Amino acid sequence: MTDFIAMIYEWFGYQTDLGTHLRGWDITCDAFSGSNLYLEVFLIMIAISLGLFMLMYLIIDRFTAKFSSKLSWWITALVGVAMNFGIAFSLPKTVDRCDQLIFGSGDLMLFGTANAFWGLICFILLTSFSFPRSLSTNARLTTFWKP
Amino acid sequence: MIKSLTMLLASGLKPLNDFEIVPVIIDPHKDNEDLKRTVSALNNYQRITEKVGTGNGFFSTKLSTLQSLDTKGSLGGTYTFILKDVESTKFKDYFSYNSLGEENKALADLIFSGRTINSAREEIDLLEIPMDIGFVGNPNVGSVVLNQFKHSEEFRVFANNFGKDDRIFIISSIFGGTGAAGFPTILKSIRDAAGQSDISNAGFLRDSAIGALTVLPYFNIEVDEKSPINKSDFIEKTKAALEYYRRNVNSSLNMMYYLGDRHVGKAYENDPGSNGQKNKAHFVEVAGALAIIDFMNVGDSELITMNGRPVNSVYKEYAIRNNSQDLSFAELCDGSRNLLGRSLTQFTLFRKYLQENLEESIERQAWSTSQPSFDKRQKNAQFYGSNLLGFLRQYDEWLDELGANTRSFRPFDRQSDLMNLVRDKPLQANWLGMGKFKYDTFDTKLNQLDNRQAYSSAEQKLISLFYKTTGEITGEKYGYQQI
Repeated sequence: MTDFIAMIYEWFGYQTDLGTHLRGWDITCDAFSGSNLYLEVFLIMIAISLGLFMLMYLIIDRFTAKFSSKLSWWITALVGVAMNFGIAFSLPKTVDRCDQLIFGSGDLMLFGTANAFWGLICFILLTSFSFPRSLSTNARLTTFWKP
Repeated sequence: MIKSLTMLLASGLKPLNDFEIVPVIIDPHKDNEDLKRTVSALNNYQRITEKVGTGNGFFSTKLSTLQSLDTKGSLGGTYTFILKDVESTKFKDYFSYNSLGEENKALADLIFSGRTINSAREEIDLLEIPMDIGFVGNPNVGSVVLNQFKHSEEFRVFANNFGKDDRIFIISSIFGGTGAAGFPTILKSIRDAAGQSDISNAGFLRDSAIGALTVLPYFNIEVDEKSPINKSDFIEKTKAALEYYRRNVNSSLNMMYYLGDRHVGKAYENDPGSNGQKNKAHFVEVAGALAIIDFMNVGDSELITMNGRPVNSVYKEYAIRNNSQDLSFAELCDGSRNLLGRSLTQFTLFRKYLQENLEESIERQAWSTSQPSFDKRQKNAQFYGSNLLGFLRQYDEWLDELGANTRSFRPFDRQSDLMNLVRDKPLQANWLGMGKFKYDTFDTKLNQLDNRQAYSSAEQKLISLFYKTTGEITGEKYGYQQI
């Protein structure tokens, strides 16, 4: 699972040292026994997408029919993009890393961008099929391109 | 009366059993503005139901023309019975007075001895009366001319299509000329149909269930000594006609409805017909339309007729709860308050939404974009742009006139927001402002109900979905129960 996540994130071209850190290379530089940040970031990204889906399609939907246009979809999606970027950018810095691994802010930016991108894709997929969108009343036909 | 009935049928009011209504309007005054407006509303109604059918709540009773029943296509006109030989014809020429012998001339002079006033406000003999604006308060003239009904092609088509379970309802005013004369003549033609060899179903006609609505004076009219229409004559003519009906007419009817209003309101323009005769709609006409619905709801067992004589004749009147000159739903008695309150509120909500919020919601809300989608192309098509909006404008005009007349019937404040739309039932939001009825709530309800049903066309969706939605809204917000 981690390998798959790493593969799709590393397409964005950041240093492999950051990838090693995200895989859980521990502070003693001995083994992959640290936090599996790839999996954590990925699961958080999924949770954010689900959360935003519920917020827009189920919760706000109960109170108003106005938040159901493609503009509303993009606002929600951009909130997700910002959150996923922020989490991917900041989370790796909170975990102590092996001294031998070298990566900087530019790499974190690329990792953040990758997470934001996949978050967006996840949100698009989540809202592109009639289920679970059909659970919504007002936004049941709302996707990134309509109405 | 027919216009009010059309509006009520459009709003979803319907008899308990399914009926197809075939209005036949008999008026020699073909330039009458009220007649034109009524026919126009009927035409719009018919085009709407041709497109979406009658199973959608609004517009749920089929209205047909007599012409549409005529397989030979020999009838002209639409909903009107065209009186022959009345255009540009004086009464005396209608029955060839000049060719009569001296004795018959003397008899005609005796029977039609009165004086009247023509459209140029000149005093003339009754025999000189021009007939293309009606019989202006002279039922004795009308009864001669309207005798042509039983020999007309219209009556033949009507009779040939008349079935055992069909019913007849005759509407007339008692204080004028055309209606007062036409009602007994037409009733007699129907009951005596068995004596005519050239028509089918004469037995069905003779024993048919016939209801009638006779409208007693209900409006005031400007005093004009140069006009043949005189308010002071109304009561005398009514008394005379009532006595005639008591002796000669009532026993032939299964059900008779009397309607009138003694309230002296704002005077109508005294127009015998030469200016087109355009009068404001009046609440009595709404009550009259309810009488038609009431008659359709009566069980067959109460309308048995044998050998042209009803077993029972029932007479009905109509009352309001409060004698107020400004009526809203609260002033009506329970039955009509619920019927009119529910259906007119639904239809007015529909109208108000289309007028004020459709632009905002079209192609944005799920109810609009779901298949079959009601989009801007549909909005600009003939059904919506011409037929439905045309009808709704006529509905607006009808409500405006009812509200401006005296006594007025003004159940809605249509310029206000949705919370204050129904005058005697303003809605309350709670202290946090929650539960406020706004178009957002309306859209949510539309989206909710749209999700539960499939529709055959965008037009059908529009009518059916709005009926269901406004039905739920009137139930939840105003406590009206759907039938």
